[in-house]
Amino acid sequence: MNSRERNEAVAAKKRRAENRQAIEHQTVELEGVRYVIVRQSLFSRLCEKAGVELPSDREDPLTDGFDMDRDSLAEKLVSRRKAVGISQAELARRAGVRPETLNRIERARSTPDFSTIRKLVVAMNEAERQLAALDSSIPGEAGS
Amino acid sequence: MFTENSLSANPRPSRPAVVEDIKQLVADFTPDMPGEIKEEHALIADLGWDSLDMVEMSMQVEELYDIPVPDEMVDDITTVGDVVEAVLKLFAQEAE
Repeated sequence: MNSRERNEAVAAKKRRAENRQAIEHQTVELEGVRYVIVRQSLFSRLCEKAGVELPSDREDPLTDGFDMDRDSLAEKLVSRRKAVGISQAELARRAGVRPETLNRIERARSTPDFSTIRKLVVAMNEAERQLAALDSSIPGEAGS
Repeated sequence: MFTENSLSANPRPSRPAVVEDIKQLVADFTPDMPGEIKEEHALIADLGWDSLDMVEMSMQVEELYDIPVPDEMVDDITTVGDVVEAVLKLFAQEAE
């Protein structure tokens, strides 16, 4: 190793050391297991560097308690969407939500925030009104 | 459905009127609930609501009182009484 390579190796080592120092974290022990807590933004960067796909922004292990809510919400959304006869892609389009996001919500993989649920409800209500108007315009269907 | 407690005549309903409206609204969302809806009932923990119910309830409140309900306000709602207080707060803010 020549002096230039040595200098580069030393500089790289120094950078790595600086990076290590830059990681703000805390540790916590729960039921005998130690966990490291880091900022979500840092966690995202680390996942990106490692080439690991991040779960949804709203999906957080700490929200496991909301799994029941997530399941119930998913079930109801799918049921209502099917009742108004629109596809997942169509609902996503009408609500202005990314299709992938709606897919995750309907598979109970993600807990949407309030405004997203509201957008979906508004879009389904609108689709329901259109369906009702269509039904009433078909002879023999009015009032059924 | 709702009692529509003199909303058109009185833009700022009394607390008892709001309590009655909200209890009726909650009851409509909770058909399986045995017994009376009480202000201290927690919507999710006691009545089995989910976030979709919360959103729909807030939209019903908006429709019933013709008043916008901010998302942040719904985030702070836990009990039936919280809904009542939120509605009263919204009317108070409107009056200012």
